[in-house]
Amino acid sequence: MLQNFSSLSEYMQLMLPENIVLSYKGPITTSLISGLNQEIQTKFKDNPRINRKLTSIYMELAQNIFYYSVEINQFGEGDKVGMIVVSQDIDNYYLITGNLIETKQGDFLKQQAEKINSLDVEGLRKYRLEIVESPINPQSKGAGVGLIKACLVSENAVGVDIQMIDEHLSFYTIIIKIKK
Amino acid sequence: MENLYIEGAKGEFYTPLVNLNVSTGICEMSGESYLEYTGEFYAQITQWIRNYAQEIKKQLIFNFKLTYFNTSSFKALLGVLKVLKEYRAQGADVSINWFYPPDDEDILREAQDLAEGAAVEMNYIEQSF
Repeated sequence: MLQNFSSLSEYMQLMLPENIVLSYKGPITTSLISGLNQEIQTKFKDNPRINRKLTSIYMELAQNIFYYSVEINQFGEGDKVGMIVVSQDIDNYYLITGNLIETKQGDFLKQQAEKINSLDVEGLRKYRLEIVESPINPQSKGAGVGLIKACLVSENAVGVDIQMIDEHLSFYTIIIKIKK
Repeated sequence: MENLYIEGAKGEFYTPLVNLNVSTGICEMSGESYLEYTGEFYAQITQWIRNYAQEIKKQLIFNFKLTYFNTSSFKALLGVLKVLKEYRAQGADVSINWFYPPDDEDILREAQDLAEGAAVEMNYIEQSF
């Protein structure tokens, strides 16, 4: 089950239209990443703290989809495809991303999230420097850094869920919770 | 040796403003850093500092006023700080100032981590900009 939620129905509440602030599913291009960032900044212009936190986490996670999604838009330029949602409940905002990954990457991504969630702030900061300074891991390309930043900036655990579709493909969801 | 000036821009990518001045030794990077070719962009900055260290050999004041930088830029900024550290290790007077907006603890923490990663001393200055 996704971290940060006690039940699936609690998670599903975030997908109700009345709770959604922004929702996108489709090709993730560099123009789209900038465009959605602008959209988030406009929606949260009266709340600088949330604005800053949401946009800096959003930029990392959107770039992760851009680099790592294995779903390709067969029309047009062959862009990567992914999902980005900003939702809310009474106490929190949530940034949710989803994209297809190769099923064989699933264990690595789960372990990465578990490691990040097991560390305190100082541990996360050290771990980030370790990853940045180490030779690039061919399996991750240093992608864990974005998740570490999300954990530090949100001041919450990162929620990660991987649903296997078949032996080749799985759906990878990340949920970041930011207190209002 | 010439100044290095790059206009900041925010479009499909975010280019920080870069203003490195040979005659005053005052250098500034500001804005947001999310670039298409991060390595090439930051290589201009590290090369300029190396040239300054070889040819000008005077005081350098480097002011960072970045409000957002992505992971690739984080790595590249570490490189800039390491070059500044090398120049300082040669006995040069090098001040590194990191300005951050009031209440933005997140960017302050990133700046502190950059300093730790590069093992360099930096001043942190809270200021609205």
